[in-house]
Amino acid sequence: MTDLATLTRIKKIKEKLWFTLCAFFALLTIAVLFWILFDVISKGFSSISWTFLTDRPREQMTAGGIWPAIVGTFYVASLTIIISVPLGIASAIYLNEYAGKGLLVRLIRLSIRNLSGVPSIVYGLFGLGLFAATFRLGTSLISAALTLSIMSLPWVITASEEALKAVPQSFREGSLALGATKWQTIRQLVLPNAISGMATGSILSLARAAGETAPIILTGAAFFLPALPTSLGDRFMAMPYHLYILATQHMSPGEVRPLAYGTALVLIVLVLALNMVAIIWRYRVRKKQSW
Amino acid sequence: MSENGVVFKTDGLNLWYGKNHALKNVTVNIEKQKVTSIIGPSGCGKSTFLKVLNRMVDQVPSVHYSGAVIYHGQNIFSGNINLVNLRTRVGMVFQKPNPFPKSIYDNVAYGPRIHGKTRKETLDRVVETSLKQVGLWEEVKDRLHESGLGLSGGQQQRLCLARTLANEPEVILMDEPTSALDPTATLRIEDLIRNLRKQYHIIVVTHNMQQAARVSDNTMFFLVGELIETGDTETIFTNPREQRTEDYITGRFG
Amino acid sequence: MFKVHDLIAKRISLVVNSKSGEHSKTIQDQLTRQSRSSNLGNYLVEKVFFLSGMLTIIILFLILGFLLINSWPALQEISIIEFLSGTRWMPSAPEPGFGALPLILGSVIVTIGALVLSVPWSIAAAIYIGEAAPGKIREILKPVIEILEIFPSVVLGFIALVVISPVIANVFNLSSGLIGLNGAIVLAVMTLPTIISISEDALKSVPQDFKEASTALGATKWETVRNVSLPAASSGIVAAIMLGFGRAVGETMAVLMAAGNALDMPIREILHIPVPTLMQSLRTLTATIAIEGSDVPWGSTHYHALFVLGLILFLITFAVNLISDIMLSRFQEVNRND
Repeated sequence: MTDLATLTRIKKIKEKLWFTLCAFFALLTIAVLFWILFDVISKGFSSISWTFLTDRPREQMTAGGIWPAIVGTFYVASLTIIISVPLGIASAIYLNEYAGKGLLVRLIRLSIRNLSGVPSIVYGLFGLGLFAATFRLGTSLISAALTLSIMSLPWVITASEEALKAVPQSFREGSLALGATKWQTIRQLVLPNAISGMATGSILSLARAAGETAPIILTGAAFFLPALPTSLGDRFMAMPYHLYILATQHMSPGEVRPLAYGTALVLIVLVLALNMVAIIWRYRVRKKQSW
Repeated sequence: MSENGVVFKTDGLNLWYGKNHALKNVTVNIEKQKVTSIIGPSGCGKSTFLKVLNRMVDQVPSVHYSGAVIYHGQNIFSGNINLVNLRTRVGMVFQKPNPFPKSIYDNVAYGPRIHGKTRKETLDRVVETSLKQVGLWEEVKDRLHESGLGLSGGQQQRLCLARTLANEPEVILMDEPTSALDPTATLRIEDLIRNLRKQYHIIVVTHNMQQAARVSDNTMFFLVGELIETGDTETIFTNPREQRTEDYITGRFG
Repeated sequence: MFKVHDLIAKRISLVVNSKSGEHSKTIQDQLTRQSRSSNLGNYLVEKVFFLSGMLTIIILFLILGFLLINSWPALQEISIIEFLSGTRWMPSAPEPGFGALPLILGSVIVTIGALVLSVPWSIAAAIYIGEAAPGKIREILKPVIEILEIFPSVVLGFIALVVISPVIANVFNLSSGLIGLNGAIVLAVMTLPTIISISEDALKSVPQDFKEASTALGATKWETVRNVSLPAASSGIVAAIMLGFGRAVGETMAVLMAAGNALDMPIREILHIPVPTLMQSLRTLTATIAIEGSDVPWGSTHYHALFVLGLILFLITFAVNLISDIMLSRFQEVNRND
C-alpha cells in the first residue's frame, strides 16, 4: 500500500521536474527573442533620426544616414516581387488547377522543397555565374533581383497554392457544370477569390527578400556609392549588406557601432512591419469569407 | 417507348473509379418531357450515373468508362464532343447549394456571360426570367446586387436552379437537390420540379423514396452499380418486377 | 407558357436558319463542333501554365548543371582528393592551396555544435507547447517562433558579434570570442523555429488512441510523452533535425560574422589525438564563398574552385532534404493508416 503511494508520488515529482525543464526551454526561447529585440532597440534607437533615415552616409560612414541603403533595398525587393510573383502564381495555378497526380507533379513538388533548402550563398554563386558573368548583366540591380527571384520562387508558389486551395472545389464544379472552360473558371471565379491570399504571400516574400544578404553580396550590392542607382545595370546599396560591412569591414567598427545598430533596427522594423501587414490582412480576409 | 421520345440512351455503360467498378453494364432509355428519379441505397452509383450524363464525372482523376451514352444521336463519350455545349444543354444542380461568392444577379448571369452574352438588356432579361421561373424574383428583385451567399439554404438552391436555367438548357440534372434543405424549402423545390417538367427533361437523384413517388413520372432503381429496374413510378412503387426492388421499397434495407 | 413557345421557336429557327444570325446547323453539329479559336486559346493557356509549372524543375537542374560545369575546370586542374583532404586553403597565394578540409570540417563542426545545443532545447520546447503549456503561453510562443524564423540572419550574426562574443571571451579567458562556439550558438537559435515546429507537428500527429491507451494503463502524462509520443513521433523528429541540419550548414551571414573565419583546421590535439573543437576561430564553406566570391576574378581557377565548394554545399543540402522528405512522408503514411 505504502509502496504504491510512494511510487506514485515519486512519479509525480519526476513528471513535474521534466515538465519544468521543458517549460524552461520554451520560455528560454521567448527570452532569447525578447532579449535580442531589446538589445537592438535600446542600442539602435538613439541613432534613429530624420537625418539617419534620409541622409546619405558621410565622413566614411561615421556620420550621416542610410538613405541609399533603404532605397536600394526597396528597389531590389520590388524588382524581385515583380519578377517572382507572376511566375510563382502561374506555377501554382498549374499545380493546383491543371496538374493531375502523376509522377511529374510529384517531381515538381520535390523540386520546390529542394529549392527551398538550397543555401542562399549557393543561389548567390549561381546568380553570379549565370546572370552577372554568363549573361553579362554584371553585378547589378537586375542580377541581384533575378537571383533573389529564383530564391523566392518556392515561397511564392507555396503561398499561392495555399490561396488557390482555399477556394472551395464546389465553385469550380458549379462553373464547369454551366459549360465554362477551365480557364474561364480560373479567371472568373478562382483567381478573384484567391488573389488576396496571394497578395499576403507576396508581401511575406517581399519581407524575406529584403532581409537577405548572401545572394546580393555576390551579385550587386556595394558598400558605398556616390549616387542612387538609376538603371537596372547599376550597383546598389542595401541595408543588410550595409549592416554587415559596418559591423565587420569598417576600419573603426567601434565608432560606427551605433550606426550599425541603427541599421539593424530599421531592417528589423521593416521586416516585422511587412509581416504584420500580411498577417493582419490575411486575418481580415478570412473573417470576411462567407463560405 | 419510341426513339423519338428518348432524350438519353445508354448502352452497356460501365464505369470504374480506379479498380472500383461503380457502374455495371447500364442500358436504359430516359424519356423526354418526363421527370425521371433515380433511387437506391448509398453508394449504389446513382450520383455517378447522373454525373456521366454531363461528363462531370471526368473531374475524378481515376475515372474510366466504356459503353455509349447517346444524346441527340451522338455518343457523348466520343472524342469530338464539345463539352461546353453539352454542359450548356445538360445543366446540373448539386446536393449542397453552391452559389458563387458573387451577387445574386451575377450568379444568374454567369452562364450567359461566359457564353458571350454581355449586353445589359439581354442579361437583365435573362436574370429576371430565370428568377421568376424559380419563384425567387419577388423575394430578391430589390437586392439583386447583394451576395448570393446571404440567402437562406432553400433560396440558395433556387438561385442555383435559376443559374442553370439561365443557360436555357434542355435537360436538368439534380443530385439530391433537397437533402440539405428543411422541409418547407424541400416542398418548394418539388413544386418547381413538377412545374418545370413541361419545358425541360428532368432527372433527379434522391435517397428519399417518398420524394421520388411524389415528384417523378419514371423511376430507375440502382443497387451496387447495377440498374435493377426501371419503369413508371407508380408501377415501381406498387408492383415492382424485381424482388430486390420490392425489398428496397419496403424498407428491408437501405 | 412563354418559355415553351420560346423553346419551340428556337428549335424551328435552328432548322430553318432564321434571321437570329445563327448559322443553320443541327444540334448534332453544335454538340460536336469544336470552336477552333477557343480550342487553340485553351490549348495555349494550358501550355503556358504547364511551362510555369515546370519552372522549378528546370531551375533545379539549371543550378546543378551550372555548378557542375563551373566546377569542372577546377576539378580538372586540382584533383577532388586535394579538395576534400587538403588542409591548406589559399587559392590566391603565389603557391595556391585548394585544400577545403578545414572549411568542410568548419561547416560540419559548427553545425553539429549548433544541433547539440538546439535539438534538446527544441524538443523540450515542442513537448511543452504540445502537452503542458497553458493557452496564454502557447499564444505567445507561436508568434515568437514565427518571428525568430523570419529574423534576418545578418542581424543575428551582428548580435553574436557584438554581444555574445565578448561574453565568450570573458568566460573562457580568450582574446577574442569570435570562435566556433559563437557560431554554434547563433546557428542553434536560428534552427530553433524549424526543429520546434516540425517536432511539434510530429508530436501532434501521434494518434490520440495511443495516448489514451497509455493513460488508461496508469501512466502519468510525462510517462506517456516519453514512452509513447516521443517514440511514435521519432521519425518526424529526426526529419526535423535533418532539416535543421540543412538550414544550419547552409547559413552564411550569421556564421560569417560570428565564428572568426580563420583558415586553420578546427582540430585540437588532446593527448595527441586530433579532436574537433569549437574553441577556436573557424571558417565554413558558406563563409568562404561569401568572402572570396565578391572579388574573385571571373574565370580564374579560384573562381571555379568556389563553384566546387558550392557544389559540395548543394549536394549536402540536397541529400539532407531528400532524406528528411522521405522520413516525413513515411511518418505521415504510418499515422494516416490508423
